[in-house]
Amino acid sequence: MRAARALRCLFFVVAIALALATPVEAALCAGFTDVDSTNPFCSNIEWLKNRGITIGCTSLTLYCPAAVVTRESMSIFLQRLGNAMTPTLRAGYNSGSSLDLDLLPVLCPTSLHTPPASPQTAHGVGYILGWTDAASTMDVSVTLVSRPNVSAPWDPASPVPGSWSANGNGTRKGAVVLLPPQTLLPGVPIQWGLRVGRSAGSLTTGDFVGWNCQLVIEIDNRVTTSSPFDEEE
Amino acid sequence: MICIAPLARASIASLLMAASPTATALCSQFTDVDQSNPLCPNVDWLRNRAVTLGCTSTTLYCPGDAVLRLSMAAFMNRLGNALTPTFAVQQGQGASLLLPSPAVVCDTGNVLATTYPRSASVIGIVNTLAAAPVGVSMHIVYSTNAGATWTSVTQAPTSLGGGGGWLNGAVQKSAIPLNANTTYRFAVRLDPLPGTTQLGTWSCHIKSTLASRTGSGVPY
Repeated sequence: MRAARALRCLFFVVAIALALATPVEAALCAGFTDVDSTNPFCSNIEWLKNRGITIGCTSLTLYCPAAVVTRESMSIFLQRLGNAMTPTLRAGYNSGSSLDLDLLPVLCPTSLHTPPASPQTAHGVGYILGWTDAASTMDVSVTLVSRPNVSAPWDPASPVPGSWSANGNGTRKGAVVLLPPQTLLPGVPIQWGLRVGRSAGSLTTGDFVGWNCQLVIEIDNRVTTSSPFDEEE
Repeated sequence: MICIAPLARASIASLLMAASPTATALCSQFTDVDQSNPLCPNVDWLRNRAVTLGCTSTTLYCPGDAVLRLSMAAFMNRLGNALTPTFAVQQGQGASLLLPSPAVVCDTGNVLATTYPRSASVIGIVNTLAAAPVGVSMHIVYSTNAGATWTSVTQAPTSLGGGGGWLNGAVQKSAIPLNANTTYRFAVRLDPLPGTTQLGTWSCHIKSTLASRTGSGVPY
């Protein structure tokens, strides 16, 4: 009995000693060793680091939370904040003569946009005007599409296509389509364009004898993210 | 016996106010910044956007304190959120749309502009299949009474007309000033032109972008 009690006591002492010898490591906030993830301001610091507004103080792994902000530092922070909040634009404009709609061409592609680590939203508007000669009468459909890189297939990005009926008299007609807010993935490139083709069920066929188009996409900061530092913790 | 009529509570308050020294008006309800401070409009601006909530309590701003990097993170995050645009989008469609009078389509539903002023940029699109000649005038409209009445903000409405096929039209309005703490709805209104009483198959799409603007916020 006494031996058992001594053994339990020894086990208890060893357990305490082990607990003291290996302190529980708090999770780091945004990779900074001087702010842990339980700090009530951690999500704010992650927000700044995701947007490159802070990159650390005396080193990349220190935030120096209790240090005062000097006016010199403030100018850097405000400039970086201003840059993060400034919208980015991607646009495409083009025109041409004959166009075979059976090829489902994508017109007015924008240049590739590579989102930074911070979260962004894209939204925009595009239009196509096209005209046909007397031999071509058909219904035309336009969809705003996007793809993750220049060799990937295009996917519809606008839920509401635009349509018009080309009546073969050369009149310039067209359609406008919207890109509703589209969540961009941090670091994943994306490109937009306008895909045009004959509407399903269009009874007659034909090609454009002339066309022009324009597409403007605006890219803005988005409030929340999960990469690389989870701001929603 | 001397009878003294009881003083009304309002009278007592008036007497007390008259007896006490003139109270300085507070800036954003912070007891340590008064309204005559030349930086008060800036403090109001921050508080209306919830960029500052106070320092050691919600009634203190601590104007003479240095800003710690920890606090700065909160200020910048909140400022960034206040400056990030928000969106209201809607789409609609139908087999036919009767137009005995103007019709409102693609109603975004309620959009609350909280505590600070914003501007809205709205674009709407309508597609319709016209078997016979039709004509409508397209407007961007908004409502501040849950859709009971609508106000057009379109200076140059789009005319959509023709027959014998698909028609597509777009109308837009930028920088519509919105007041703080007001609920808005945005929509496209179709006004029938003479001779048009209905549309055939139709669809619509609207996108409203709300962004911060300069101007007076509330409650400060």
